[in-house]
Amino acid sequence: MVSIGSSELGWWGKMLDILAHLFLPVTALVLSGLPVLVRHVRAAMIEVLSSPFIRAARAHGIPRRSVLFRYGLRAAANPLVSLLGLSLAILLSGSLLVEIIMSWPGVGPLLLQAVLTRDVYVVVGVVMFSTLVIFTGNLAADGLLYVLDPRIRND
Amino acid sequence: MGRSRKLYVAVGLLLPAHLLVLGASFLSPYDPDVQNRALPFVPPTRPHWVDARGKWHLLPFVYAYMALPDGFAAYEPDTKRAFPVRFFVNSPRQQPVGGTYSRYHLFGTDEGGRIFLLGTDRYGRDQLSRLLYGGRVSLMTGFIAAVLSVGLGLLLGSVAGFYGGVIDGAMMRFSDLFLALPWLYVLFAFRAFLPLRTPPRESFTLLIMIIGLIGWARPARLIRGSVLSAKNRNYVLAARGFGASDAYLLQRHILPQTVGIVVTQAGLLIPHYILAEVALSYLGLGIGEPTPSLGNMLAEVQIQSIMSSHWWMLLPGVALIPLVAGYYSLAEVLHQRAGLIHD
Repeated sequence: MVSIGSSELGWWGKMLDILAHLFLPVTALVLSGLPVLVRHVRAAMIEVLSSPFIRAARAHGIPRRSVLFRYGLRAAANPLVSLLGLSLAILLSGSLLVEIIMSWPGVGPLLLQAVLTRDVYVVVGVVMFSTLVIFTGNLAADGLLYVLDPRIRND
Repeated sequence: MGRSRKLYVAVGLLLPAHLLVLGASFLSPYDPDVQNRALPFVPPTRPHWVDARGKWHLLPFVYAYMALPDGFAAYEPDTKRAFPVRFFVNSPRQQPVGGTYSRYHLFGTDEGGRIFLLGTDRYGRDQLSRLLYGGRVSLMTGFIAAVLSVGLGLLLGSVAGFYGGVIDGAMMRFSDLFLALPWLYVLFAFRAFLPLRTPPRESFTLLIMIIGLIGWARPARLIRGSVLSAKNRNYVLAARGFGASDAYLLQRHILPQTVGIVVTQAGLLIPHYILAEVALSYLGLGIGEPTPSLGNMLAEVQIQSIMSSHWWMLLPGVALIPLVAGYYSLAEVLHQRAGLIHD
């Protein structure tokens, strides 16, 4: 996790250095995870846009952009948030490979080294860690959904 | 209209790929594990029709490779040594690879010449032959593992859905464990407990077993749901009232309801498992040399200089695209068809 000459970079320089090296792996991961989310939000958006409250908003003369983004997208964001936990699991699996390919010193190379050197305790530890990440992600998704979507607060 | 076009796309992508892979022993000019140590990283051979003196030939010919004295893996066609391309060559294999054996090959050259339509790898092995045989190995892994996974899912899911109660609860909690964990981590964890160095045949079986056995949870869940809804339909209750046995009910009335799910899941799992094979073999945990598979062929491009200077080494990755896209669109078509049958 140390670039050549990074000790002289200072706090801000180190940050920028890490961000620059994050660019490719993050792009690869985002591109692989995006289509599923886009498909789900598209379906939800189509459903929301044909519902009566959107027609009412249009009839009130609210600008088109405002109808789409403030009213439509907010109601259609439900799958986006509830898929957060699931897509986190998929992304974590993907990041395993991306980290190894791009030599990012994360959990992926650690797990691979542990498997290759038959260090079973580290393997179990990494799997436990991934589970923890996913549980946290699911919990956060539930909380976020509660904040964002007033429709689920009734019960 | 949209659906039938999607079906054409799927079949148009998958049929040629499967025919190529099935005919690997006839279509490939060489054995996948035959090495030419003097010819590493040969670029794809170009068939010529016009020779050095500007004379046209009816049948194509290839030039022999001449290694340039300065530089590693740099070649030039030797225009003095031309070899005509022969079709339906009779050159027996040293040993049958991957179950099939063909005396004849679609094309080849005379003794002394070499034809590498997609270049060679670091040991001078023909990339085209390796791609065809490797595709066969990867597809077979995906296919058998998917059958295993769906079969196990069918067994456990139908038992859980049909009998319910404690069995159902226990099985579904167990499947939660598999569904909640990120699957690649589970795959690695299981791989960690198995021997690392095994002979090719055993590593192939091992790989199929772990990939197939880890993925049972999702098909089991879906099949359980479908069995649960089929179990309480009136005709099933009527059949039970007439004294039908459990086995008869499952076989005659309930399992036919799950066909749509089974087929769709298989269609989804095959590309998923092909990619799983590629991921594991890429990291050296799957199928080992000298047996080719798309994954361990791609492993060569882990070295950046190979990837940047020999583009044909990336072809196994390119070959994966139509394969995976074809299977996913096939699964989508099957999914829609199955939905129509049920409604």
